[in-house]
Amino acid sequence: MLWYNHSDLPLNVGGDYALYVWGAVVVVVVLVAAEQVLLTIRRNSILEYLGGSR
Amino acid sequence: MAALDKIPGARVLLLVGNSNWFEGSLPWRVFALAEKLAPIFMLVALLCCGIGLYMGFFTASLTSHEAIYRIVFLHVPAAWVSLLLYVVMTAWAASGLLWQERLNAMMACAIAPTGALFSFLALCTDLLMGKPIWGEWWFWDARLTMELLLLFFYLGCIALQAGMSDPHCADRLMAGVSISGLLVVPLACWFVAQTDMQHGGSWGEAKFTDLESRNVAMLAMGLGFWAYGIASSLRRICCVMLERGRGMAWADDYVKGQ
Repeated sequence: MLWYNHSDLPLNVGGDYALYVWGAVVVVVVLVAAEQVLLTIRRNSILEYLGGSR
Repeated sequence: MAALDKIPGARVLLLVGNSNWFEGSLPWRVFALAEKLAPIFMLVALLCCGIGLYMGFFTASLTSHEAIYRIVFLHVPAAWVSLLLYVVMTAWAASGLLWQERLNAMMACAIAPTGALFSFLALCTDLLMGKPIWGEWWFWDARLTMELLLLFFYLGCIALQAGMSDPHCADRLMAGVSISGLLVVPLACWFVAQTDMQHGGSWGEAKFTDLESRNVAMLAMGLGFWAYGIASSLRRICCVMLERGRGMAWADDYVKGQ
């Protein structure tokens, strides 16, 4: 049913994984901020184009 | 009219029939509403994500020093929202196709990039969790594969909108693609339920001692991501409407006012 059986895997947890955890936060924040910046650029360029073509 | 009083609910039905339901869906009204609501939803998103991250990362206690499981507070809500946005996008696209409503198709078009972002985030966070836990960045788990398929369907919809010169034709094709990909959503939910059943509870749940904090944090993050998805889609619908409304009086008036 499942293509991968988790129970066969060594559960290699423990130690300090702060880099991975905070890395995930950074990835989320950066991508979300990038989307908002791109949206602002798109909106401004549309307004500039429509303003110029009137 | 006196006869109407004898029929229960007749006056309400008459009122509903007489009111113009489509007045609220006029482009300039939707545009003005989207512009007003987007910052409110963004604020709600920031608030909820702030609370969720604080509770998930600093309050919820783990059974041991397995800090890596805190990534579930980003991974699970991102996966939820990517699935939910896909259903909403398909509903808008299908209704646009059915009733030939351009605004509905534009809504679907505005949701697709944000849905793809959440799908990508769900995959990225899973990779970051997978390497330290299982020693592999990627493995062909059914849930991960479903999320990857969902990302491909989102990308297909975006590519159709970006690559076709006729937006109405692109809208119709996008509706077809999104409807055909809808099967991924129940399949993904089913695979998650199957995996949880196999392990006697969800992976994250087993690692947290304080389940109440974990659930509140997860809910707050889910609501935050959902609010962000709405805010971002509303911002994008304004761009799409301005692009397609070129030459229309309301769009010209808006540009003049800027």
